[in-house]
Amino acid sequence: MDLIPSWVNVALILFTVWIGVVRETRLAMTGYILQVVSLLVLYLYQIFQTGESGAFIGWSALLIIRLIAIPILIYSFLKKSWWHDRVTSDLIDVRKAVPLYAFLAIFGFMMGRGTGDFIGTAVSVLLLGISIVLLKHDPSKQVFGILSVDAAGDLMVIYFLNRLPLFFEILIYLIILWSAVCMVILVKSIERRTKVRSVKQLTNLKG
Amino acid sequence: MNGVLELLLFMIPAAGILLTLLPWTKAREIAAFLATLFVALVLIVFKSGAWITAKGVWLEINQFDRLSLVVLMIITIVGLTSVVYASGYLNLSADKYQLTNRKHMRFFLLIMLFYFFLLWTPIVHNVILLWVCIEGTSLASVFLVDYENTTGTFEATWKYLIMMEIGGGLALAGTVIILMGRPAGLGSSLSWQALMTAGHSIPPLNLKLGFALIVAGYGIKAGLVPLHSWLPDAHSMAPSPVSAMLSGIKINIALYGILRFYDILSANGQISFAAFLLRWTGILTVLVAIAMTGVQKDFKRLFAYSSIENMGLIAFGYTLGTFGVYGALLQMLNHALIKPGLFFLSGNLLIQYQSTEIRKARGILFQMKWSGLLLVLLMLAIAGAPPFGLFLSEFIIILSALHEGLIWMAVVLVILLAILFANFLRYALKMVFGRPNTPIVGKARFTWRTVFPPLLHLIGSLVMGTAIPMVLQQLLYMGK
Repeated sequence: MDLIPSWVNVALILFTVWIGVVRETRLAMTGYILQVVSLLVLYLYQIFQTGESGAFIGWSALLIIRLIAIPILIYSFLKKSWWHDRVTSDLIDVRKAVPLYAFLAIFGFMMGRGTGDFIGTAVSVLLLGISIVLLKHDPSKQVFGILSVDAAGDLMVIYFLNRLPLFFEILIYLIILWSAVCMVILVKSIERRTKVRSVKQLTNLKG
Repeated sequence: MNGVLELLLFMIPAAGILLTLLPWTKAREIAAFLATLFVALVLIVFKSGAWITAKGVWLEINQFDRLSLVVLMIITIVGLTSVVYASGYLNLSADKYQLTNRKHMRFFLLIMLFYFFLLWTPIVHNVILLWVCIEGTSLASVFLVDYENTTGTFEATWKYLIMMEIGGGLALAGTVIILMGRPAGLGSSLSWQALMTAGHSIPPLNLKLGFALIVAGYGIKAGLVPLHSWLPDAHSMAPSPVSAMLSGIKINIALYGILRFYDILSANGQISFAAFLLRWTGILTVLVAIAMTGVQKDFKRLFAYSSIENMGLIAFGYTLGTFGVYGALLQMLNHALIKPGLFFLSGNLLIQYQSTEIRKARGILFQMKWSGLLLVLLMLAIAGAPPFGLFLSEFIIILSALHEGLIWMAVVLVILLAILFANFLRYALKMVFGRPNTPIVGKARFTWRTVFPPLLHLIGSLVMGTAIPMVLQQLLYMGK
């Protein structure tokens, strides 16, 4: 029984790496869904551990917002041709990115592990999410990077379950939903404005 | 008393948001103006009584401390002037933004939503709600940055959103890591006061890791180097009243988040780590921002880099003991008084010259006498020239650094600020007194709504440099 969270934590990290490695957006979406399923399993485990029966409302909120609303939102906004597009122009080649992801996963885990395995996993997913955003040029995949960053936040919230009021937990999920809405609206308009499915063209402003 | 104030501060901006859905443009503008004005009046009525008592610097009402009050003051003032300016600016830039009734509604709806979250950030005491409010400010302002709907604004908006989201994720992670370490005896209280009184019971690892993530997360939102790249783009691409709110309030709000946790760390015996991290981030921010001000071709980007520099100075000053905190808060207030004035004025210049390029906006004094005069004074003010407020606060921060024994840092800071002053003087001379490059085709008919706000900010800065109200001094220096 005690091994369940450890294995799910490992799966969560691997699904995040999967999002970073795949070429097609539909596969990145699959990775995202598996990531959320892992979160839901960990959440259930925490509910049984802490005996917080009221936390089922939070679990349902996570399920509705993360597993249903956000995928539907992304699916309805993106053009169908985008889902199968295999032409990518990432900052570094996938083969070179894999060792980087592996390094970040281990580094993040070791960094956060001192405060608990959950935190180690969360820091690991956080770093992986940020690296996906930085390495990908396809904005639809950057969205899944951002959602991975949010998944790290969710994981910490789950770990913190017995001491975080339900109201705040749901507020956090709603903010994530709001950010997803903003992102898909912008992703939808990127192709219309730049005529390509890449943020590589957006380099006129020098930060 | 407590509940009434909070209820009013919720109801008034909420009513303002709803009223912006009215179908008449004038009604929307008036509703937004009245909402921000009433918020200011409510705060004055509820707070002034407490301010004028000798002990009143720590306010029992809502337990606002000086940091919350300074930020609240900034939001009230800049929010009001931005809404006034926005109504005038949008009408004069109708062609640029292809303004329709629907687009006008969208602008005021988003700006009031933005204002609502900004206002509530210093009011909430809960660190998770603080995160929610700061995230709310970021998300509410996304489509304000992209208001002009060009490739340039889109690029700035995408970068803005991505950076804000990464920042939000990091800050949430940091917040939860710190919360996890708090003792079980605190129950479900998530307030920063409870965390400050938790004594030394939070494990140092939680505090250090959490604070590092918070500095990175909220630091992105505050424009601290090296995570500042979104700021010049967003500030330069957003409509001028939005730039004023981003620069005057939004980045201060993010810094507020960092400073709150800095106080928590210092109350929990980790001040040396927190001060080290914030001090070096601050000085690096000042260094990079000042270097970047030397090579700007766009005046809105120039002002944006100056905002970054000021955030660095505030972060640095806050780590320098009691006197340093006084200087940092004064710097926050002074920057928030001057910078929106400059962005308002840049909006007027944009209307007149149809460009934000420095080379095109030359010889302003000969073409727009009053705007030229106002610009040179505001640029001197932001460069830290006496008798404006920023001179005083920068001077106090340098003195605090010397007082803390950081002589080399103080020397470096003096040199950097001298370079900044020289840069701004060079740009001011070029823009205001240079030979005009572009003949003005027809003069825009500026109204009081576009002229009064920058003037008010200039006067405010002058007052802050010559006669800081005693009650404000008390609040900043003696307030808890």
